[in-house]
Amino acid sequence: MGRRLMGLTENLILNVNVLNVGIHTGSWQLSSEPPTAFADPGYYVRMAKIAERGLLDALFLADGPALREHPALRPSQALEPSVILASVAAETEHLGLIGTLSSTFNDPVELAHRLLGLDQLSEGRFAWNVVTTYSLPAGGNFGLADYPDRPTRYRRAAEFVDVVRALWQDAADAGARGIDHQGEFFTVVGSLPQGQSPQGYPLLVQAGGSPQGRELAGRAADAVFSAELDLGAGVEHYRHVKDVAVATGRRRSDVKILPGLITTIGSTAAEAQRRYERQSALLPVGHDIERLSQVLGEDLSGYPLDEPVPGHLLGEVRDPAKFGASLGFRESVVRLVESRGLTLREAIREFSGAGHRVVVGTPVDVADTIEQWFLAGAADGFNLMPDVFPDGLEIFVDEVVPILQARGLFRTEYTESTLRERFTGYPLPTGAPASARARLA
Amino acid sequence: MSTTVVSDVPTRSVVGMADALSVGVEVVGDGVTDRRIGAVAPARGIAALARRLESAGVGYWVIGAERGESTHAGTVTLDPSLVATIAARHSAALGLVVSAAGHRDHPYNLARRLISVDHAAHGRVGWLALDFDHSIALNAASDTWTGAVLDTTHTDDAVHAVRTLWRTWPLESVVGDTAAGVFADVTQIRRADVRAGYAISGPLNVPGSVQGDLPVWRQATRGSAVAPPGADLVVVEDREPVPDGTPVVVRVRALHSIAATLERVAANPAAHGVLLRVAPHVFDHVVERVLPAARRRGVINGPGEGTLRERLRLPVPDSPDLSGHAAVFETVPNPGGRL
Repeated sequence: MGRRLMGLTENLILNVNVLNVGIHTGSWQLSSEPPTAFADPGYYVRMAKIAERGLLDALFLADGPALREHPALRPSQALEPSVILASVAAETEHLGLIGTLSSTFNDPVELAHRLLGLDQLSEGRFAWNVVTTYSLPAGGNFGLADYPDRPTRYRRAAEFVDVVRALWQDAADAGARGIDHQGEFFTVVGSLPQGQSPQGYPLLVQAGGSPQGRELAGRAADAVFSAELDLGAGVEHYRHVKDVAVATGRRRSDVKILPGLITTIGSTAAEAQRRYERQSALLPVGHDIERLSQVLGEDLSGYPLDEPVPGHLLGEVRDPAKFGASLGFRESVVRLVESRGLTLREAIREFSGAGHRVVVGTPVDVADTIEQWFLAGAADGFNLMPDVFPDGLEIFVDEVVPILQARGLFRTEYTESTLRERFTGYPLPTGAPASARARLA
Repeated sequence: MSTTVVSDVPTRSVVGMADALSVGVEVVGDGVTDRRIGAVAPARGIAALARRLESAGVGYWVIGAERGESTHAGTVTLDPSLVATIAARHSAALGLVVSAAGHRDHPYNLARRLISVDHAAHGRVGWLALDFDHSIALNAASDTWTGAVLDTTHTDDAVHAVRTLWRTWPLESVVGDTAAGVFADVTQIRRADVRAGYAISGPLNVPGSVQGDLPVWRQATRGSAVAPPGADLVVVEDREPVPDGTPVVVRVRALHSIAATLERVAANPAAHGVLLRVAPHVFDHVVERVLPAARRRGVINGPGEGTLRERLRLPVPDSPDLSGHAAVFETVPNPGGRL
């Protein structure tokens, strides 16, 4: 099963990103779930059971501590992710659980305690997706008069991760002596009130494609949730992160690269296209161009739709430290538009308002693109983002998974008991970061 | 203001069901590690404990209360909100009260997590607001967000902030009108604008509880005649003075001659209920013998029906009143809908 690289067989990884009732803005209007599903942990349990039926690797949750979307238009991520995942853990057996929790809007000791507990409650199935969060409303919710700039957020994130991992490593040591951390942002002395989980402690996932993000991923993450629109750029970024891993003494396979993939699936090409058009018809006029404007940090309204996107909108960001949106999303859009010379209308279609790659097609089309990227060395797997839940996930599980299995790319049963074994092949962490080990010695 | 002492109140000979005590139970260790109660894996221990408490007719389980007591430092424990979430999936009627402090937890995160657990339990969750969390304090003796001293005034601020956030986004505003393309009626969503102790603009990013607000428990300040603000129920230790103004639950830690203790507490008209601190080695005795016997005598009540607030017959408080707070959304969304 899987692909063979340097004598090792590697298995395709498929996570599902349950972005409330679907990535599509109009998903709540098409879903068979009630409008309050986004505020019901039971809804996430139902989606998790579908994912587990399809033998998927993990359920992924995006998050930030503020409203993200205008509630008149659509639901946002609302329920606190550790609570959703504890609910899912209670009613699943194998599915991995990946939660996004911010290093800017949490305390490292409280979060280390809660997340190690979630790993214990799920018997070793949890991974923490570390984000630094750029959201001015979140700043207002936490009394930040000035929102910390990108370098400050990443310095805090690096120290935050060091503290959390040192606490987890300490909890895993039989005679926990406690940590003694004195840093720029945190002073932490002592131990957590618990022991290790069946996989030692949670895995680390990193999301985002800024230069600092890729370095952090290569150095410390077990997996990366990335945004790639173009195969060439995907291969290049894949190699970069793996090279960073090797340079810091890790194996290339120690960090899994998992781009987002938005799917709109129909039994035939025509059916998939009708599904796509039915969704598009629900969008407010100007929705997609507004979203693309936000990603690029430029106002695109007023530019002709059927001419190439003007080059002056695609140049370098003047001050990356102050750029208000995701540098990774922006870079992937710019690369796509430039490499294919897209018109504004084509760019909107490829981009689909969310920054991740879109495939509209049959189950075979979806399996083909997954296989192509996997075998080309652009991805170790995907973070699937169905257009609408539950049917967008059900058709993937029932129609795409069997094709991938028939091609020998995907598992036919769960064989590992923890997420760490599934992703890394190791039963326990191979070692805390050097800085944490030094303090523990 | 006057205070009364529980043991000084004359005994009533008959206690009617309407006056029967509500029953909360605190189980030392929360079933996480103790094999006498649960199983080796913590989730199975929690599930087993929740089922046993529910079948014993206990009104609510207070999870993690020992975290507020300095003697608890160093004991193995997991986050009470996650323990409650697991318990919610393995029970249908049991109330679940989560102990938490605004110590390392910011009120925005606390408000959101508590509401989320309440959604998991369909309105069966409450909050025991602690001043201090000894389990994860480590070297932090103050609020790690604001630097504030962790006294009862600070807890007043944290409770006020959380309760305000709970009211910013009413659940009823989620209309899901597919014909009009309107997901939520945003005129009902209000700013929090918390300024006491914390600066929190709001709104909370999760809609509020089906029970109005979650009921809040607070520990009485020893020697104070005044109940702490923002609480639906105040916890007093057995034989300690009862403050004025808020219904009390009496915490009983000494479980010898417990039948007589229950009768004595029930005789106090100020007592809404009893909160039993139960160690694992006496758990079986308490849930299988003591509680059924007391229920037969009409001293304690059963679990009741509806949300936790309804079961405890606690009215939804008037405060905090957000009707004067500005609406968050005064304009229609931009076409992209991003905030």
